[in-house]
Amino acid sequence: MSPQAPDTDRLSADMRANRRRIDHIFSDCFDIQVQPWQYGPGLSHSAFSVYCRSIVIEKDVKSFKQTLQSLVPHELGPAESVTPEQIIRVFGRHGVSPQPYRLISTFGEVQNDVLEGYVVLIFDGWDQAVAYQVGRFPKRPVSEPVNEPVVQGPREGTIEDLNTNLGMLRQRLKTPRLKAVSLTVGSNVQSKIVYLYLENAVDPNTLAEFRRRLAGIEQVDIISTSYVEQWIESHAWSPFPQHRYTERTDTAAAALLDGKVIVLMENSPTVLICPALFVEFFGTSEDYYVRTPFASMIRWLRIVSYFMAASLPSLYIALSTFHPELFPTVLLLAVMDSREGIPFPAFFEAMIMEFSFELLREAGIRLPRPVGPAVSIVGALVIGQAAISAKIASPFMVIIVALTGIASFSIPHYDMAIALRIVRFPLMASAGLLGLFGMMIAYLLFFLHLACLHTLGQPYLSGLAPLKLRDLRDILIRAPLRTLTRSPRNRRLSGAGGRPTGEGAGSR
Amino acid sequence: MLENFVVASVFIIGMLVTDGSRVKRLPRKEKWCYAVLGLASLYVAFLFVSQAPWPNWPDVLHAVYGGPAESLTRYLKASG
Amino acid sequence: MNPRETISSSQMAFLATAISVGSSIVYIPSPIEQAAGNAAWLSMVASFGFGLLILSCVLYLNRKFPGQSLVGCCRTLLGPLPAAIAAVFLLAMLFFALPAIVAGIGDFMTNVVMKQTPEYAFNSLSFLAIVLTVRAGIIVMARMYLLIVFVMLLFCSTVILLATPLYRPEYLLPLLPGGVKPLLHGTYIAAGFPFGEIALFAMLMPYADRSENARLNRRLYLAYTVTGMMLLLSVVCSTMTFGPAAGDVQFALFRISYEVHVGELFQRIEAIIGIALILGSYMKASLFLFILNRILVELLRLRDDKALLYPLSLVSLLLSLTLYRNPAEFYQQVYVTWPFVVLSTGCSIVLLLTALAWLSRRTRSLPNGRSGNAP
Repeated sequence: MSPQAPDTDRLSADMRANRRRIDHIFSDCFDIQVQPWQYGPGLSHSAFSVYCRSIVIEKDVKSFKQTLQSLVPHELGPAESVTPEQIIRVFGRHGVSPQPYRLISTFGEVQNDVLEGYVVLIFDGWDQAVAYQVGRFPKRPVSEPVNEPVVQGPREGTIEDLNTNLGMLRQRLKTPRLKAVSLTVGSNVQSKIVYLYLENAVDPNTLAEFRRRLAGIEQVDIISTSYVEQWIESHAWSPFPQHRYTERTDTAAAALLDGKVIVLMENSPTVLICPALFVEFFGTSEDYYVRTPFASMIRWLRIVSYFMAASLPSLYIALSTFHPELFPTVLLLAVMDSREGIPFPAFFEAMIMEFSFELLREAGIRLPRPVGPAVSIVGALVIGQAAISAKIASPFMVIIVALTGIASFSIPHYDMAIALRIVRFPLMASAGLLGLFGMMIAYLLFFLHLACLHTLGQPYLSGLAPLKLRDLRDILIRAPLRTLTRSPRNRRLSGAGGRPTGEGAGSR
Repeated sequence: MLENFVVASVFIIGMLVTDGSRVKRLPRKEKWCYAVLGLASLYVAFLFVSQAPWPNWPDVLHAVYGGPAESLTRYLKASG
Repeated sequence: MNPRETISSSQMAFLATAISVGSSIVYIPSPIEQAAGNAAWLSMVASFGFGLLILSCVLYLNRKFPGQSLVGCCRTLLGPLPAAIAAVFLLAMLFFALPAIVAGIGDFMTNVVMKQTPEYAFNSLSFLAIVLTVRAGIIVMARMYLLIVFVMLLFCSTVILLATPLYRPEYLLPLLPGGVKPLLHGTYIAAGFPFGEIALFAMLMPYADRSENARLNRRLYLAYTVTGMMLLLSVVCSTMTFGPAAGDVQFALFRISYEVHVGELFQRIEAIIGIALILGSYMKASLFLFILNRILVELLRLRDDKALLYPLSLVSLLLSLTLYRNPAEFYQQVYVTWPFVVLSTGCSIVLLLTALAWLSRRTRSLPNGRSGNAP
């Protein structure tokens, strides 16, 4: 799709006029190189090439010479036997050339192609131009994503180059049913966004809703895929993420097989997976590379860690302030003993410690790499110990906060971990106000909120509410792959005797 | 009594603040119903604050159903 | 009525469970035992039978008048004016029932768990959760309640199971020392609360997915039977635990959970029953608020069906705080007057409509021209 107000003025046959116009378009752009050439009998014919030095690898720019070489049967120095008529005849009719090229005829196209990394050749006497793509500066090499390491499984991660990412996905799903639709967005960024879906897996309603929500994004200057997420999400104020991110190609491929739409963007390594259901945040790709008992155990561990990350401090506040009788007697004595001399009620103590922990966590991200981890660890230990000595917090509270932090670090998805961090504070407040009753009401309100959320038309709690017992085999446990012949959350891939990859014979 | 007054005020004002703008846009019939329920709330709020022994909804029910209900219960309780 | 909102048959079954079990499971044993003594469980069986009759009438009306609520059936069978009168009586019922349920939550919390907190704190927060839930719509409620009912039944079953060492089966005898009248008294109370309240479920039938009609009946009967069994079990266990004193024990299941000691770890598990009570009451109250709102909307033919939710909740909240001045009044209202209200209003309307529908099945044509024999 074209951006706003494309320049539709056509190139003229007068090279000088074209040159003047291009100099005007790219005025004050020192990295745009305009290289004049002379060729033909007596070097009497003129041409010039335009390219962007900061995008293309300059030493590889041999396009003009290559053009001329294509027109003569043997190697020729200054190409004195080539004429403009030959050029127009061969290239104008899309003759064969060693390198792919395109013919362009408007200044808008010249502008776009130069900024895309093409070399554009403009000839005197011809109102069209030839554009070649040349090698670009290499981006970051493909490596294991830092935030999603696995013990067992592929270590291929997406990078900032869109074509490379697309290529990696195409290698995983070698089917023409993997559709890739591209858009160009932003009048200033002119970036390419590509959304992919598997034709026989995606739900047509979801795809239609995705397209509907995406409408209008061409006018927006987008820097990263997270802008796309925020553009298409329905509930911007909900703390719970309605779409997922990944930098792993295997996760992206699995999502495609699951019937999701994924979004790639130029210059952005993160892949957006839409829609994401609540139950999907309990699993990772590694669950499918290890055996069933271990994967199921890890799932339970994650469910418990979700619960701990959200509610452990509030549970402690509720029990120690309002319902001490619920502690076993010996533990109760230990808790009461540890709280001896603390001037604050459990709620304030918890808030102070949680807030300090959040500060430490944020600071740890921004500290320079050599000192960061050491300072975080030492800081946590020292502050914890100092807080206990100063009687600001009890040892029990420090343990609770530490366990909560560890539980939240074990959550594989960063956005969900943030959501639980946000949710923790209202839960603590409700526990501080009315103990277990307050927590119960807060839980009911959160449950209600989650039940009301929709993501691309699907209920956010699909699988749990509305409950589908079959889906629980991939939520509560990770059933053996043989029984997961169809992706539990999307039944469009046919399953009768289908292979675990799910590509069956017919689609519905 | 003061505590009850504050609490009742918080409830009523809270509802008006949350719902006020929406009420203005309601159709006529809904507005009337809203007003009637609002008046009922004010009356019951008065009962709550003052703890006055004035008639309340259970008394209305008792007036309608109380007689037969008690007779039936008395009959069933009488040792057989 | 929004014809696009439909609920699956399994979700309807869980809603029926929510309405029947609701808060009853924690309140129920004591008033029945006070009335019927050791024969309380027999009363439960008898009143469960009555409840099944009412449920079958509700399902019959749904089959004969698909897509019509109780008020709609009244209009069709009785005419607009009698239907309006019936609706007013139903409203009167619900304006007592809804505040009473929430008052029960507050009463439980202030008497047993947090004695120094004023009741309005619990009632107001409960109503906040209730009104926000009802505003979200019946589809969201149906989605949520499946899980919550499951959790509630699981908790209650856990307590009943863990309390097994406390049971003395000999407390179940003698069976009818006072003759048949105490049994009838217990049956009367239980038929009103909770079994007879299933009559109000007729207001939710229009939301059922009509393509699942065959399964709907089966699942509703199954859900109601599970309800009956759970309540029966709680009465039996309460009798076996407390014997002759069962009638004087308030919140019997809660008291049972007090006594449970399984090793050093499973002590003082009454918090579990407390949670079950709050969840059950929350679900039942939300459904009652929804039904109350629907009756009002259909009676007055309002266009905006969510407009009155906040004022209805406010009135109910304030009523819940002023419902009774002492426990004797509470007993009088809930166990003397209320069963009569349910039987004479809710159940009678359903029985009357069923009789009229059955009589007129040959002579009157149905509103949408279909026969009443749809599966």
